[in-house]
Amino acid sequence: MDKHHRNMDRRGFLAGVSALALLPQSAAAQSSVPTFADFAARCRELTGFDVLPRALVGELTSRLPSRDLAAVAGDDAGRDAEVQKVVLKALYTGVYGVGTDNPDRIAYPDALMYAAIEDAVNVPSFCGGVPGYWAERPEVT
Amino acid sequence: MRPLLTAFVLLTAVPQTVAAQSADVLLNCSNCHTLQSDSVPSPYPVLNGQPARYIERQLQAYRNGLRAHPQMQQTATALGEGAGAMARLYADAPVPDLQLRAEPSSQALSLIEDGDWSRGLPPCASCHGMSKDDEMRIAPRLHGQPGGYLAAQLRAYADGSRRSDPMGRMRAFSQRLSSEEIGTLADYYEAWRPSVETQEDRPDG
Repeated sequence: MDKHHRNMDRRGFLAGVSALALLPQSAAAQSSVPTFADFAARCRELTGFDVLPRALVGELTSRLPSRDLAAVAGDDAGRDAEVQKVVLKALYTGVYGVGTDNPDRIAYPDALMYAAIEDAVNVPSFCGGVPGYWAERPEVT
Repeated sequence: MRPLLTAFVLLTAVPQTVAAQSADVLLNCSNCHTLQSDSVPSPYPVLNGQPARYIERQLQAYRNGLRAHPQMQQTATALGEGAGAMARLYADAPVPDLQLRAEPSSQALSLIEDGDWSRGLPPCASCHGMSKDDEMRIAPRLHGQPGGYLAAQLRAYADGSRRSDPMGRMRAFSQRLSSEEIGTLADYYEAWRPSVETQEDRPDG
């Protein structure tokens, strides 16, 4: 083995050691996937709703890739604004993947857009009042 | 000097003790609203498994005066920021396994399943569920609730002393129910009891 090859070997060895040194970090990143409780707490923080239906958060959690869960509720440094928007859209509309080719409904009456306006607008198809209530002119106080 | 000191110590201690006891009583929710799913029915509403946002809204309603109950108004006020956590706790608590323990009246079943459209009454089940296992998401679960509580709430909606219903729906419906119908509906929902074997149920009991 000539000197050149020995140098290459040393480089290879150093590269290998460096790569190995990175492995524990990868494992740590893997383990930083937030728990359901942490993700739910982050969702409450993002939406401003102190109470979120478990079914809504649960369905979203089951669809989000681990990296996206970490990007929303992981360490501050790793948070991703775009993923947060995906989460907010899903929580408010009840559809995961709004604007994509494969939107997936995860909730209907639980969607936060209905909760935000429940004092004035009914969930479509749900009982909104006496029959024909919508035909009456609303009272003006 | 010693009696004076003793009196001073007692006087300063008493208000703190009273306040601490009051907080204990006010915030001990499970004292009335048990978290156990197989408990003996009580006069207090069952909160286990109710929609979390419904529970939170009711606590807000007590604080805002949209619902009236001396104890609950104080409790809701004392809970303050903790209302959301308490709502989540009860929403996630195990739901009682219920069985119908009495023959339902045809009047109750008719109102629950069909309503009475001639009076502008939709079926109760359209929001509150047809069966005990329906997953209610935004309206409260009525199966297994104490009859006295349900009747009192329907009357409170009818006379406007309870105004926590979104868009005034329950106020509108309750005003269209007769006293007899309110009693019949309350009896029906109360007849759903936890399926635990009590002393009375046992053959030798």
